[in-house]
Amino acid sequence: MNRFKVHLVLAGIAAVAGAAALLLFLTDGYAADHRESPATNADAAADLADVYCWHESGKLYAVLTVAGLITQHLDTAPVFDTKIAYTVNIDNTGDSVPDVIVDVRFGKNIFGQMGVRVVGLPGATGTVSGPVEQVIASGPTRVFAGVRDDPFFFDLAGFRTTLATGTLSFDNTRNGFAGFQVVAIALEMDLLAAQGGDAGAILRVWGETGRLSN
Amino acid sequence: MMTRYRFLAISVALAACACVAMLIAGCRDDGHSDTSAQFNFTTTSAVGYLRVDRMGLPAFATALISTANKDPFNQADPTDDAAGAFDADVLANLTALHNALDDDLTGLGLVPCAPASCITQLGGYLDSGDVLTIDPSQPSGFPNGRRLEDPVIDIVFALVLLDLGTHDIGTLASVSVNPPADDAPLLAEFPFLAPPQ
Repeated sequence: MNRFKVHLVLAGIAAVAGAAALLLFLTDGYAADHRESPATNADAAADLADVYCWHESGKLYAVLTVAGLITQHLDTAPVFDTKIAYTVNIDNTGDSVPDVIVDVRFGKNIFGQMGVRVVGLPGATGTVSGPVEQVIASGPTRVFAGVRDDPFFFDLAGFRTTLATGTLSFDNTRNGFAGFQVVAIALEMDLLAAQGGDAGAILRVWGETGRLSN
Repeated sequence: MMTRYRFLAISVALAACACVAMLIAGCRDDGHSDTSAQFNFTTTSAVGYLRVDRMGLPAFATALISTANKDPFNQADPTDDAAGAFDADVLANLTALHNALDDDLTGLGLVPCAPASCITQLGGYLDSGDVLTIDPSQPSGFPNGRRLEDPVIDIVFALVLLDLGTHDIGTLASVSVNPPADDAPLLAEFPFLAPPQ
C-alpha cells in the first residue's frame, strides 16, 4: 500500500468516524427545537418547536410554537394542555435573568371550550384572556393561541442524509415541515414596556415550558 | 304537597335558565377583560411547574448539544450556558460537524472556521446563553431577533460552519441551501401565522 492509499484509507476512516459521531450526537435532534430530547418527545404539548421574537413599530412580538411534527393536515387533534405553563422570559438588563415573565396557560369553560390566559404581558392592564382561535385585544396588546401551519421551513430529509453520510445533501425545494401543524401562541406587546421603560435596552428572550407537578 | 314540589321545580328551572343565560352572555363578552371568569385556569404559581423545555436560538441546542445532555440542557438556564456549563459539549459537536463537512465546504469554495475559532465566532451568542437577542435600535431579522420569515437554518449553518472573517453571515441564505420560505404564505396582520392546511 503506497502512502497515498494509506492517506485515503485514513481519510475514509476519519470521514466514517466523523459521520458516526455526528449520528451519535445528532440523530435525536430534529430541527429548530422540535422533538429534540427524550423528555420533550414524551410530552408533545410541552415540546417547544420554535421561539420567534422581533420588534416592529414600537411593538414587540413573540411567537411560541409547540407540538411540532405531530399533527399533519388536521388528521389528528391539536394539543392544548391545561396543565402546562408556557413562559416567555424577557431580560432587559443584559444578565440573561428574566425581568419580565409572560405566563400563558390554557383552561376550559363549563362547555368544555378552550381558552387562553396571559399574565404579565408588557403593555397590558392586568390579565388578558379569551377563547383560543381568536385574536384577543387588550389596550396596545393582542393575544392569539390556536392551531396554525408550522411556519418553520427546512430540508429535514437533506439534513438527515447529510448527517448519515457526512456529505452535504440539501435540496431547497424540500420543506420537511410542509403540511404539519403546531399549537401557536402569538403575543403582541408594547416594546417600551418590555424594555422596562428604557428605550435603549437590548432584550434577551427565550421560551420555556413546565408541567404541573401533580 | 304537589303544589309545593311544582313550585320548587319551577324555581329550580328558572334558576337554571338564569345561569345558562349568564353563561351565554359571558361567552359573548369575548375580548373584554372580564372573560377570564368563564374559563378555568390553574392558579398554581410557576414554581409548582416542572420544566420540560426551553429554547432561544433556532437549532442551536439541537445541533450543538449532545443527546445525553439535551434533558440536562433543558433543565438549565441561560445563565448556566453563559457560565460555560455546556462549552465542552458544544466544542465536541462543532468539531464532529467540521470533521464530516469541511471537505464538502472546501469543495464548494467556502472557507470553514476552525472549531476553536467557530466558538469565538459564536462568542456573542454563547456569552448570553441560549437566548434571542433583540437590539431595537437595529432592523429586525435573525440574528437580531427572529422573524417568522427569516431563513434561520442557513444563517445558523453559516455561523457554525463558515469563517465569517471571509464570508458574510448571509452567504448560505443568499444561495438558499434550504428552502428560502415556508410553503404557506404568512398573513399581513397579527397573528401572522398561516391557518392550518
